Amino acid sequence: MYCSGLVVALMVFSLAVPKTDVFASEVNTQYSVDPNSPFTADLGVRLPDGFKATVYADIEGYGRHLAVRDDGTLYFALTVRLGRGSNMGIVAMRDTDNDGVADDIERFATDIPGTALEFHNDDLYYGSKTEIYRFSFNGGEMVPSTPPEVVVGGFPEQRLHEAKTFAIDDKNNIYVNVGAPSNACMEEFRTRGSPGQRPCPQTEWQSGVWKFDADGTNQDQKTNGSLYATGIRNAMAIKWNDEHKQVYFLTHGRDALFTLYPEYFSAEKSAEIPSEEMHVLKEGGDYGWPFSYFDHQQNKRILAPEYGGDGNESVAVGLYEKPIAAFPGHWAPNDMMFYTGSQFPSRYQDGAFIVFHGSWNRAPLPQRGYKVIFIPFNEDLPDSDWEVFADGFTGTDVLESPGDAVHRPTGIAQGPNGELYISSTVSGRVWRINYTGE
Amino acid sequence: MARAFLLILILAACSGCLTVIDNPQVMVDGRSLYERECLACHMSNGGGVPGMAPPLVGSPWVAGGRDALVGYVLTGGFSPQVLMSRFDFLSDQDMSVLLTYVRKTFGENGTTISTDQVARIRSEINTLN
Ligand code: HEC
Repeated sequence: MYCSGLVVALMVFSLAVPKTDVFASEVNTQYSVDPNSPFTADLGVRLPDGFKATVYADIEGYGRHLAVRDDGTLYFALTVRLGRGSNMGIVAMRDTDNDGVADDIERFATDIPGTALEFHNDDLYYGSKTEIYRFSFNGGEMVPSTPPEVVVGGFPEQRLHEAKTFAIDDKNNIYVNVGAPSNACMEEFRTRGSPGQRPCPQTEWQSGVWKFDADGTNQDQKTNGSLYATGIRNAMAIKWNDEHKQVYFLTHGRDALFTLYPEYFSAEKSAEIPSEEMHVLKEGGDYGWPFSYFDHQQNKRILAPEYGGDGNESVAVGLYEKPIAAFPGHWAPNDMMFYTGSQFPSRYQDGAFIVFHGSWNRAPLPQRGYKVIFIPFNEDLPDSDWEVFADGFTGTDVLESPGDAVHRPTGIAQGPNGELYISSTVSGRVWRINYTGE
Repeated sequence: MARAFLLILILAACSGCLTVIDNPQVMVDGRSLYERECLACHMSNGGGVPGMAPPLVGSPWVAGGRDALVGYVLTGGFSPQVLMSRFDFLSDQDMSVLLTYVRKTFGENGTTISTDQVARIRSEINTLN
């Protein structure tokens, strides 16, 4: 039949040609959360049919990333930012009666504000603002009884994009994201008409990924680190993929095109671009900050206005890495993970969940992006359009101001039975998500 | 330096306060200046962005001494500008209108700020630099 012939032809085509196109519009596939489905305010999250969430815990504090130990204990990082956050450190949680709600909750490292958490060889790695720590456990203890070791320190103190997120590969290398300390490396911080600095001094020890020995102790960025990739504004979401043997990350794109360059950008355009970019981490790669940004509406990399751009002029193809996927501007990708469990339907296997904290830099237009999305993979690249996996966090249809959001999703992790955990910053909430098929 | 300057500002509480532009047009102009310069981070309701930009509603800088508020906004927080830029490029007139709007909209008692006051603080900052 003509029809199925076409489908087969398309399939062959899409298998033969890896999909490198970027796709950034919100796509409502049959698998997305049904926008008309009811929403339970108390729960604070809405999922596609067949998935069920419970409020695992409500923790007082500014929540960040999550990690799960093999025994099912969940670890939740808390930080303090600009006076937000009443607690800091790591919260350890267990649900001993398996009702979806944590009933054993303990805290440690309560003097260290941090974001990133990941297990490696049963040690818990924790990224603060200036260090990566390693906690070791004696047997099945929930809270480590010995003090942590510093794996790497010596990162510059900075107040913007300060979270040291990281990924660890299968050869004991740890790749640490050191964010850019500014929006776009202007001579005068966020000042209209101020030119961009070239070279940008903020790329010397920041705005890139540095590689260290994950088993090492007391390493220093300047003496023990090697600059692995540059031009990365802030790769909050960064993960090793054990199947494809590479690190994936998403960056937070720059802000304020309209407020800084009203002659080139409208408020509407500036609310949608630049893209939030998803990349593969490549040794020696340059990802284009601060000299350029990606515009998914034009599907090209644009010269930043601080460096003479006008919103249309592109940079030479090949100068900087091209994203493997691009998402709408200002959505703030804060975490990602690949699903390797078997609890969810098979189409989720090896695809990526991405957590978007949600925008602030769209004002005066309504804020967007407060959701978790899923993007299926084909081999090592995103395969098709993405779908909304979890929304409803803001508690309102139209969000004027980020401060009105009840929850802002920020971290994600997979448990030993293939269940997911999602965390929220402002509310300190953690949800557990299971697939029930109902 | 920044601390010393802060102290001076706080001690130099406004005595013989100045005559000000206090008419409805101030609120209209002040609002459009606010929308152009401040709204992106502090939001139209002055609520800020949790963990990123503090609210102006309930802020001691907004409700407190006027000199301190002028100094804060002119210098971008008295410290190296890492989170908020400085706004010393605004004229005395624009700054007084803008901050009058900010105080009346987000502050508790909402008294006005005059151009003379902005000019005085600006020159104090310049002599300290
Ligand atoms: C780029 C984002 C941004 C813009 C634009 C901005 N601010 Fe701020 N503002 C901040 C941040 C961030 C802080 C906190 C700074 C810190 O703690 O170092 C702040 C702090 C303040 C404070 C002190 C509040 C407190 O309680 O600590 C005031 C007052 C203020 N801003 C007023 C303004 C005014 C007036 C404007 C417009 C002329 C403005 N800001 C524009 C980001 C911004």
